[in-house]
Amino acid sequence: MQLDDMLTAWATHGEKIDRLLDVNEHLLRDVTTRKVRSALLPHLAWRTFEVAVGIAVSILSGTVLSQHLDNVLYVTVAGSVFLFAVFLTITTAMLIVRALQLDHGGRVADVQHQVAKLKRAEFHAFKWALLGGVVLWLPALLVLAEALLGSESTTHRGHTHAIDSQLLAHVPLPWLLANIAFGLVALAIGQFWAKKHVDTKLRSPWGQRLLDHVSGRQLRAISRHIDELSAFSNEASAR
Amino acid sequence: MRIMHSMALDANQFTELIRQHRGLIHKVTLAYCADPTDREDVAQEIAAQLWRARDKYDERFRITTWIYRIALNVAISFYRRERRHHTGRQPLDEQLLVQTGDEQLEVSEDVQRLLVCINTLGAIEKALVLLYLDGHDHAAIADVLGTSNSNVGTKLNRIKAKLRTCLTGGAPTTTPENSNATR
Repeated sequence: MQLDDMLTAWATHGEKIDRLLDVNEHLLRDVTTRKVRSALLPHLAWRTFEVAVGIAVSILSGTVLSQHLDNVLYVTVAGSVFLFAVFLTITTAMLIVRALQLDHGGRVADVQHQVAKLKRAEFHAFKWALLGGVVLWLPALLVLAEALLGSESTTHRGHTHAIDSQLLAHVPLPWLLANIAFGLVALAIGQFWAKKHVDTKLRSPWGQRLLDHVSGRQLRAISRHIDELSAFSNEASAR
Repeated sequence: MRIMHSMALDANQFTELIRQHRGLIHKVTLAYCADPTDREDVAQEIAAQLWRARDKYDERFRITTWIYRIALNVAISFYRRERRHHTGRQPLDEQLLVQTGDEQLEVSEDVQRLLVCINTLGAIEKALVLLYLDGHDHAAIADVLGTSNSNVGTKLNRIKAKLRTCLTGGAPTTTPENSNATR
């Protein structure tokens, strides 16, 4: 037997290697897609719950707003809460749409890119919810309490107070404004700090860890599964 | 003076290129690395080198010639480094030669025997045989290995004689690596 006699056998060997690598990748892609889908379900369920809460808050704050359209304080405070709730609801709904648009059958690099974009979008949504929350947590609490409690009584420092439906109107204005001002300062500092130290470093290992933590366990798991598939695709030649 | 034509591949096109030719990279790593983990490392290094060299591809040559040149450079460097660290290395286990990750590649007896015989060759000789078996002509082989056509012809005849002995049942004789055999 000579080397020249082996040319056909070697060509067949090459074809077998190609076929086997294709089959392995196909199987791994199937398994990974199933894992990604099952990791995505709790993520979508949680985001859907958030949208439902956002819609409820929007309706409640919108109701309070509509009842006091002639009051500048209400228009300003309840209006801000309403707009913030609508903004967060739309942002969360867009996150759901983006998650649903993940192309499981696409190229691995594309799926990785989509997941990375989704994680960055999750981070920005979280950032604005956090910063906006610092400004509006107190007004939101008052507006929602007014919408939910109406004219019920409440106990404060051992004394029972009857409160009417215009809860916001009874809050000392300077105190409310001081809280909002503090929140706005915190928002400005937070946004400045995020832009300078976080947004520009989201691709660094530190930024990736932050994205992992902010975007949650499910997206972390999805990233891991896709990365495994990517590692196989890129390294399959070595197996 | 040779004119270089850049491929200007983006990341996705490059990944696709690697995917299309992973069988080639697999064959190279299989010939030079006994350990599957080493094969993964070498394949990663090959991919990294291909990415770095993607602007230097000369379109007058086949894409496989370009991939072979880089893959063999990486694999041969690894092989020589390993030889320095493991001077008393044993011949490769036949099973190791045909393992392909989780799945076992069904390799015909002829190819198994050929792989064992190829493993007895030196680093450059292995490269020459791989290129020859994959249908590259003498000019392409000479270009990949940086030598002359006539040198390729001479070496190939010598290797064929060695492999004939090995394939027909003669005791395979390990060739000491000739580090500057072709350059």
